[in-house]
Amino acid sequence: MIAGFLIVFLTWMCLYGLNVPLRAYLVRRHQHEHEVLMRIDVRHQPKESGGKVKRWLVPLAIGVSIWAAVRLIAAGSLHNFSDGERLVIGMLGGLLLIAALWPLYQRSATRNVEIVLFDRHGVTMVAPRYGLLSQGAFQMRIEWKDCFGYSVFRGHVMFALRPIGHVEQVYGQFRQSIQSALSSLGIPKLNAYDVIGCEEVASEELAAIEREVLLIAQDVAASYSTELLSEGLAVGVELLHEREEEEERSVEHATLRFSLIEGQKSLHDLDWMIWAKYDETLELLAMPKHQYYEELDTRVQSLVEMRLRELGVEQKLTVLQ
Amino acid sequence: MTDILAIWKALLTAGVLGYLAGTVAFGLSPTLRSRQKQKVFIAERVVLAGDVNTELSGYQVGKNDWNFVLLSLAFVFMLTVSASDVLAVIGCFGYIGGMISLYHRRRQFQKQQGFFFTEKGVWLFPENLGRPLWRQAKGHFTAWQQVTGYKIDGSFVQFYQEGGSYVQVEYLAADYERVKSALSELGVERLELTDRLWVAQVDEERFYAMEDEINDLGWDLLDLFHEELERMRLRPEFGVMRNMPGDRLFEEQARSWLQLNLLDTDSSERVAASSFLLWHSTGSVGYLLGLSGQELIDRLQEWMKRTLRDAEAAKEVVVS
Repeated sequence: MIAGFLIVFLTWMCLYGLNVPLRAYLVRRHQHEHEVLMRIDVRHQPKESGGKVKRWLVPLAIGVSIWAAVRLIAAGSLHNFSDGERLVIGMLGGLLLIAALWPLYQRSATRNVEIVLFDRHGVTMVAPRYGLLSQGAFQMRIEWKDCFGYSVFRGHVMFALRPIGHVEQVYGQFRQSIQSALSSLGIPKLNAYDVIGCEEVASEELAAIEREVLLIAQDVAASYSTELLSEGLAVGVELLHEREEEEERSVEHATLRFSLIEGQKSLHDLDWMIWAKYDETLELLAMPKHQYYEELDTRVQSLVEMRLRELGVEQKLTVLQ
Repeated sequence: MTDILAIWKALLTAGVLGYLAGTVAFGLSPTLRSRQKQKVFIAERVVLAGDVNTELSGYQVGKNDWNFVLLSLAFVFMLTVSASDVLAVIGCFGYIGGMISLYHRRRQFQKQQGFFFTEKGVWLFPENLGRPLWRQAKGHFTAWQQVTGYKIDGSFVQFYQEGGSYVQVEYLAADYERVKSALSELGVERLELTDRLWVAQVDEERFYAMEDEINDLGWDLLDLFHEELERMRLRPEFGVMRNMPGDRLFEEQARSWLQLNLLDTDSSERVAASSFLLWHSTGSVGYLLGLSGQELIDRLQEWMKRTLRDAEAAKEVVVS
């Protein structure tokens, strides 16, 4: 009886169950070996699997239970069973245990959660495990020396590898925290705009981002005011919302407009897009905060320089020591 | 005594047979591949041959060794449980065969992709990816007549056929120049002026050298138009320009281009202006001018002629 139980249960453990302790051990070992700065648990959409196993396992278990019940009633006692029958009864016990464990396993973190571990030298991604033998690699690691930057594209963080190729990592709910972790590690962001789904960012959040960028822009514009006062100029900043209806699709975008104002007249304009919505996609400006200042500064600077050149005022050369 | 010897002999034979079976099923592909390649070598003149390991470098994968462990455990379990010798021999055959095939399936050559550019066409030998003998990846031939042109995308050369479908071949990043020169030697047309490359694939120093070379070449070509320019009373302004200060070549939206301005000799007024793109980066991917040699000269000359014609038209408008 015990042998039958063990055969069934161990087979299941080897195919699926062992994943749970094994992955826990791997993650613990990794945390022991590396100084993990940040751990992010990305929950995947629950994926139906084990369909094939269930398809024959459930009818089999029901059939064997009925047979066992009938046989038990007929024989009156377990002692009257032959060896083979006992083996089958043991197997039935194993099957019942698996049936009890299966939903737990399906809902476990091992099955659904991808763990992303950032440390000083690289990032390790431990994929969710569906099966022990049927699935290949346990984990994947990118060292920062092999990675020259990242970008965000449709639900994935794309790590660009040197010299060729990239590795995609699902970010789930954690787009911003992954970005802040990467920027604190000094990994450059290759594209200023994130290409993401519209539903990922609520309109209040978009408004908050607009306000934040606008404040920084006003800050930057104010820093030029004294310099421009002597020429009788001023830099104005305004936020524009536009909606364009084209054939079959609508484009909605928010832009920041710098304008160089002389008296009441605007001389030059310069636009900087904050976000744009196309059908399902949202392009959103996302950079570490200090970079906003730099980028905005270069933009205002170029605007001012353009005007000063027109006026024939030579720019003072700044010599960096 | 003889019984014990007999069982060991049987086990050994089973092991050897298992080894042979596993090797035949999964380990023969390098031999078969080289046979295939030899045949091609005998039949056609090969212009360029390449072997590429298609595994991405730069990331490490934690291998799954549980196949080996569990197979071994199952074998030991079988030996302890089963009483009959026949089962043990069969188990030994299965165990050794399984281990050997697992070993072959994760060897380097499974990710090896080869290609030939011959005079008749392009041969692609795709990576085998652990397939058994009976589902082996076969060599794939595309004749040049079917190919309308090629594009370079990262580490792939894509040969486009009519209807927009393409065959793609991976090349070694270091062979970039050789691949292009071989293709131009074979007379395969380029579909686009620029190659789409990974930014890290572009060598900065080589790019600066290329900029200089093209700049010199441009001035030499402008000399050909000397008389014409004189006659039209135009003065050229020519050079390489970048939209990014310094050497920030790989920044998002960094561009580098050739600028040709034609100025009026008397009034120094700009009559016509035109640009020719050398490099455009979009962050992780960049577009690099892929022309070289005679093709480049032809293109540049064509571009200059067009600008000159524009200037001519502009002048005529002014006169009339």
